[in-house]
Amino acid sequence: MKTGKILPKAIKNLFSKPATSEYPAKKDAIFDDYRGLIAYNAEACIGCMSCKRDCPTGAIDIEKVGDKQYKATLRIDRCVFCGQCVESCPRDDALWYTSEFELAGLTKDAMKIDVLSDR
Amino acid sequence: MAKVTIPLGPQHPALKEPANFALSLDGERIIGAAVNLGYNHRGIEKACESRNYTQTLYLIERICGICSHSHSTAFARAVEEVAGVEVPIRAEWIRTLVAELERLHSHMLWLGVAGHELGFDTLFMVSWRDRELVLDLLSKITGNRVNYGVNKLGGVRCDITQEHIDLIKPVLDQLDESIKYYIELVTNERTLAARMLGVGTLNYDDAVAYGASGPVARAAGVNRDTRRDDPYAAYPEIPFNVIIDDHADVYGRAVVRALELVESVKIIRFILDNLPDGPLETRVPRRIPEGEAFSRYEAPRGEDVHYIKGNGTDKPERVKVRAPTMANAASVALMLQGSYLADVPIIVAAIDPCFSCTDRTISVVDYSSGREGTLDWQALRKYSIDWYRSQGIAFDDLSRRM
Repeated sequence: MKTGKILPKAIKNLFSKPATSEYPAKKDAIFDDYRGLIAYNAEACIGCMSCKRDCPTGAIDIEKVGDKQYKATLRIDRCVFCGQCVESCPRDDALWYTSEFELAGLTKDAMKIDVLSDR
Repeated sequence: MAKVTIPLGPQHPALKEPANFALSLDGERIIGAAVNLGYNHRGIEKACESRNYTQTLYLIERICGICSHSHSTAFARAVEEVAGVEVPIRAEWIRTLVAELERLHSHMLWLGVAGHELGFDTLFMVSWRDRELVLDLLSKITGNRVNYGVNKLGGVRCDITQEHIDLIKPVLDQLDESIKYYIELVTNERTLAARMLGVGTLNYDDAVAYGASGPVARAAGVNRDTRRDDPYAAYPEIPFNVIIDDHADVYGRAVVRALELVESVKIIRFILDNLPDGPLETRVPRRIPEGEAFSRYEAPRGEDVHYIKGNGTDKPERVKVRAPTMANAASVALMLQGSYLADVPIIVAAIDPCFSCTDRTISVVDYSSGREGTLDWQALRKYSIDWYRSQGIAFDDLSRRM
């Protein structure tokens, strides 16, 4: 048994660079495969409502806006970013994840957004 | 000196979650303790009954923020058993890989929390810094840091590619070094040992009698590990040692967890080297047939038990979860007896409690007399009918609109 075993490490850490990243200047904690905000391609959507049916929180909504034309709205305040909508979608190109994660807003209305493909 | 009873919690700086401990003190010594849980009852089991199985999987995953994969795997395995679906071997191995990464970060989290409760914050900083390595790995593999969403009914959602393997291996080498350091620190540092040796003792007989599980039981010499005793997923094919210690105190629990880190790294290496090829999922029907299943899982904190009952629809009839802390909470009262008041935070922290995961029951207390009681089904039904009637809703005339 010894005392002060952690001292060398503590002193070394005192003079080394911080382990945390300098957010928001540097955003290195986010990776390409990150499940962030979803993106939606209205032209590929077939309106099967699979995403809506499986969403655990009822965050996504698909609306029919015309003949074979659909629109997706997402309640970001409800979304838990599980990605089940992307998983449930039978098409490859209708829904996908982006690494967008800075989604805070000040009002409830601002939390309800139209999901677009260019986000 | 007269006996003094003081409440610790539900709001207390030493507790990370609300729980109440009624401590009877003789001076600084605790002569009696009662554990009162139920401040975080969230009604998750009931909520599961109104969601389909896919939605339930994500709700179940959010029971716990640390052992999320444990809960979702235990649930998925129970559903797969009722549905009679065989999960592909590769999916089982990937589930195991994520499970062991989860055990790594959970034990490192515990080590940090324990250091913090002991007033040894340097250990807290060091171990939480290294834990970030594991969390970054999980985030790269699965797409999220804590609620990984790896499982789906019948398999897994993400594949482990060669790229991932190349990513994980160097991190494991890094972890090897820091784990070696932790073990040396936990076993050889005099200040740590002085705070942990002989504190919160729970001997073998009591651990068995009180049904303790996981590292708490193994630190008392109870040779019990669901991964070996009732193997699931890929564990039947993976060689590993069950860590047992006979200190039966907080020190023993720290040693067991530190050595389990080594085993987890070994298991992960084995999985990466022997990952079998094959499909990632078997299709599971949306409607799960009638039937019930019981699933056991060795979560980082102990044995996690899930029970589900299907009724032929796409929603479960009943979901029951017994989180590991439920098994360990009962023994805390015993550990506290005879300890010093100042040791309460570390004794509670040593079972790695997760009270939110555990709260399943609320107690029914008569407001005027203060007496506790139970409500049977008929009484509960009558109570709800009366309550709704007082709100102007009559269930004996359902055609009447609200």
